[in-house]
Amino acid sequence: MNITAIIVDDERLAREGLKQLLAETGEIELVGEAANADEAIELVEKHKPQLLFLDIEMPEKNGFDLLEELIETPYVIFTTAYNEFALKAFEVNAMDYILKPIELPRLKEAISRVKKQIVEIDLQPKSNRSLSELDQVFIRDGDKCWFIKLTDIRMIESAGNYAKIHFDKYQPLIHKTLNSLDERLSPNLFFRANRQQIINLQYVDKIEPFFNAGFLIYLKDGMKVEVSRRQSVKFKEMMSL
Amino acid sequence: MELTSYVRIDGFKSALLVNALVNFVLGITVTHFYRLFAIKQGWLNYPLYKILPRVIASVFVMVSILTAINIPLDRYTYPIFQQLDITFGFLMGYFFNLSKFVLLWTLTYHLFQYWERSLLAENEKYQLQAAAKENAYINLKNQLNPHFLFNSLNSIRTLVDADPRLAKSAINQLSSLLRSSLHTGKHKTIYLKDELQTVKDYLAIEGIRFDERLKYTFNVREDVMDCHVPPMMLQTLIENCVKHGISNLKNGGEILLEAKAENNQLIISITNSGQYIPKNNQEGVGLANTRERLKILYDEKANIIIGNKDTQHVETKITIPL
Repeated sequence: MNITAIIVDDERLAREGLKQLLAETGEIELVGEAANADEAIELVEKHKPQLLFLDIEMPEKNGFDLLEELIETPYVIFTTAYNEFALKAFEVNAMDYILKPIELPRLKEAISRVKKQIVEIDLQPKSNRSLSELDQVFIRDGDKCWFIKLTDIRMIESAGNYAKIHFDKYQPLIHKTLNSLDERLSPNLFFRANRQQIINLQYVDKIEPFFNAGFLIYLKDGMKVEVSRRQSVKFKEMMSL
Repeated sequence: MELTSYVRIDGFKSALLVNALVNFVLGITVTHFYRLFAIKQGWLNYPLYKILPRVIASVFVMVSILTAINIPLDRYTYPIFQQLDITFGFLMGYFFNLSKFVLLWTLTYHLFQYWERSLLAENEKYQLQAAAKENAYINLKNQLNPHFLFNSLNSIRTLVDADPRLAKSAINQLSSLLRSSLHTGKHKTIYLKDELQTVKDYLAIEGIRFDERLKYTFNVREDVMDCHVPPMMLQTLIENCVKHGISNLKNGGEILLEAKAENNQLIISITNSGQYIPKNNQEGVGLANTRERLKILYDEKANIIIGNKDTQHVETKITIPL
């Protein structure tokens, strides 16, 4: 099984060099290369690669800016000449980086780690999986960054033009509206309970009838979420399926 | 009533007061003029053994003036003095009496000045040492500019297969660039032509990395090639142009370096694509460091100005005395 990947780097020779190295590994099917963030976003949306080789320092939008614009991010291996300190921003999730000039053994190691993760997901029963294999999202709040599996997000709450993501013990704010998130999140996993909240259906503990023909949902972490009357109809339809 | 026999009865208080006042004003005036004179003559910068004979001569002059004024003054204040003849011994009495105070004042003044100056000098020495150390540290960090170095090595690595000739010349350029930055501390100034060679080596390597995104033009008059400039100064500034200007532009940009002699000054102008936006309204380390170096080398005679030429270009202008 070859992993589909895109290279993002503003230097032609750096892309060229990585391409040669990837050919030597024989494990990557390169589906595109981009010289800047905008080109990369277009390519990612078009080809939906499994893996990104991403340079951090790029003109106008850097690697992190790019990731922030993607709703679902592929696996990422950062490539950097010296900026590994920027990667200290990552809080919890494992992420990988390789230093330039790139060494083949180190590259192979990083790829095999990604491969292992992809295989693990493949082994999981279908019912536990979100529809897309690209099931992680990049989140940056101030100077902290996370890669979060969509299945790890319990709830998303509206806060004006921002959205508060509840996962693990963190609640970072991202600069996206709840509506824009609702449009792009898989309906099999997420449900818009009311104007303010989107919940992850995996985390529903129990459901009680509530005023006005609505519902009250208890999440596994003890939080209570009201389902508006309008949404209750939808919810019943979904649950009866 | 013994006392009143030699004091004018009619003006006892006012005469004494006038006498004291006159002496007070006189003392201040004379020492003040001495101070001005000593400063003007630069005595304060002399070592102590050189000041001493000058102090003695000055004290002699000052005391003579004071004596000349005090004798008639005292004769006016104390009528009994009018009965005394002005003998040599009488004069000497006055002279030595006044000398004590004037000498004490003058010596105190000079010792204090001397002490203060040595303190200042010490301070300045430490400041210079600290500045030199910081310079050395910044230069060292600039020399190694790891981001540039590793990216260049990464590019060259690819070139080894793709274009061995270019790879070889890139290795040579990188070597000579590293060598000149390691030699920065050795000379206070170097020839402009040598500095330009370093800049060209640097730009050639960046040119490999940035491809057609980096364009540069040199417009340097032949007659300034042998002018002296601080080593790695232009290199640092050009590096800033690439780092803050070109590398942030998706479609790249250009750098124009011009140098000419005018009014006995070397004028270097560097224009690059981009906009100058100082972080937190403070200039960066490279620029502040360059300013400091120019100040140490040329005092106020050299300067550096950076600003936006228009909405798309930044201009850095350096003026150095020839």
